[in-house]
Amino acid sequence: MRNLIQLEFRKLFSRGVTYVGFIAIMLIVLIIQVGMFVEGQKLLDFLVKSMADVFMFEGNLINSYSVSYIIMNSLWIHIPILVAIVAGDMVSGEAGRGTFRLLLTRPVSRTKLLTAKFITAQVYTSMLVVFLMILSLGLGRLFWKPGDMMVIMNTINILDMNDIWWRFFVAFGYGVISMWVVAALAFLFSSMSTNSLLPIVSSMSVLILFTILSNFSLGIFEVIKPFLFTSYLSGWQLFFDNPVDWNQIFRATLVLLGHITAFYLLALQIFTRKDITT
Amino acid sequence: MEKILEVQHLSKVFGTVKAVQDVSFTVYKGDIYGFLGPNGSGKSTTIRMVLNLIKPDGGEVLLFGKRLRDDRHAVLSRIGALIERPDFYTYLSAFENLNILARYSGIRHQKERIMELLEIVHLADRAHDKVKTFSQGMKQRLGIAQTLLHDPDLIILDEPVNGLDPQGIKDMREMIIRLNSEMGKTLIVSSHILREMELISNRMIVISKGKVVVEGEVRKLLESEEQQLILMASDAAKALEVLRMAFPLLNFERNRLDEIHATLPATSIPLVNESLVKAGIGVKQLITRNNLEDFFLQNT
Repeated sequence: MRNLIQLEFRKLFSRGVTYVGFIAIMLIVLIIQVGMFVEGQKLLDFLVKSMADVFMFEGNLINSYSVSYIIMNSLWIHIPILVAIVAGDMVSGEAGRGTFRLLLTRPVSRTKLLTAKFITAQVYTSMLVVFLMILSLGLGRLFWKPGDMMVIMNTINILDMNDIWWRFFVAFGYGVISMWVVAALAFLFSSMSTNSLLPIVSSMSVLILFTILSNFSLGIFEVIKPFLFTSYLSGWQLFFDNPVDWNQIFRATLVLLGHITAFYLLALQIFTRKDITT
Repeated sequence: MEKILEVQHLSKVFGTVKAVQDVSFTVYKGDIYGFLGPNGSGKSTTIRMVLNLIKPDGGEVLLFGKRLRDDRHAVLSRIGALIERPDFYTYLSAFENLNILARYSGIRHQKERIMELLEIVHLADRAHDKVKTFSQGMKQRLGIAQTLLHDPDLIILDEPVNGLDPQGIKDMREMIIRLNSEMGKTLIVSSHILREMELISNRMIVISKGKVVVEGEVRKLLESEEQQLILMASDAAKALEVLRMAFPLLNFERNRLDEIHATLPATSIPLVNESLVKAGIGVKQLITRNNLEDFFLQNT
């Protein structure tokens, strides 16, 4: 299995498209950091305008942590696309290029081959999120000094700067799991297709549809919301709550892991029975 | 003779299309086994079922005496295959492609072996060039090299001369013959280019519309068929008269070029020549045509 995973990585990192995600993240983070550096105070003034009569703010609320938090918020929209581009091509790409004819006539088990591809897609996804973390926190330190962080959710949380680092680490950890679900979904569609574009478009369509359903507050949708993985993708924000609701995070993590397992098993069923006709 | 491949009553249906129906054949050690049929006849589907790329709806595939579905790993490690187009990772070099494929076959430390194979297929000087810069003929040769990586006993080539120029076809033909005669490999070669199959295969199967039309030794199959005779004699009119007298049951015709045409059993041809010589008629040219193409067209 280790040999198969190594081979998948060898193939993956020999292609230019693999680096597109990293370059895109770098550019987006850089643009946001520069933008915040230039116009950040205006944005903060706008955000706290309505609270100015009630609260008095002291110190620098625009700091490396708050900017990283803003980046996290904005990038969870873009990262799924970058993940789907690679995960959606893992199986369908080989089918489309005809290279499965070369691979599957060798003494390689289909289950092992698919599992190696799945693991590679998930490791790549993790690398993207870790890269995002390093850039957003690391670059943030270049532009800004650290400071206390204000998080506006249902309540306003002011987090002490000494109580933030661990929250970012676990939030990014949760972010990895939530992106694994997106990768697993794109991978599932990839196992059904011989065209790389279809899995990307399909997984994005499902993601958009489910996100809309997850955010609708109508009774009929309330019933299905707990079963939609999109209801839990933004669960990383829970780590910035005070106190942290560990039970809710645990439940959300279980649902996400359940989806990953289900998508993988379904992809396995499809791939092991699939006729290679391309 | 040792059976290398035994296909028993193989069937496959795609939707409502019966792609392969009750196909059975046997390939023996040392064969160059021709797999013939027009486009869409079910050749590739049958070959893909033999290689486990397509799951059969019915029937059994026995390779080296073992059932494919029971012992896939052991069986496939003794087979090298090139199915239709040689599609490689075009963004990798020839060497890297073979290196990756060797590792999929469980072979490590294969650098020397890969270079040796690239030498055999005359690609050693392009070993580190990306495959996307290769011509179709070079890709086909690289395709042959990848079939040999793990030194298989059986090599399956599906349409190996497709898209090749005449020189490429000649090179491929010679390579197939070398693999068989010098390296002792058993080969199954599918093609719809009949002339090639006639030149290289010792046994063959013809399938049409998913069904077996005929199977057996090429020589015997051709011998059993009637031959087309084209004859040019020193005196065409007299020759025609002699032949009609000698063979009253056969139909001899003379055309405007003074050629005499007839369709007759292979065994009659020496007798035709003998009759003319005895009658003092010079035989300037005697051509018999019974090639695989005629056979194929008659049977599909």
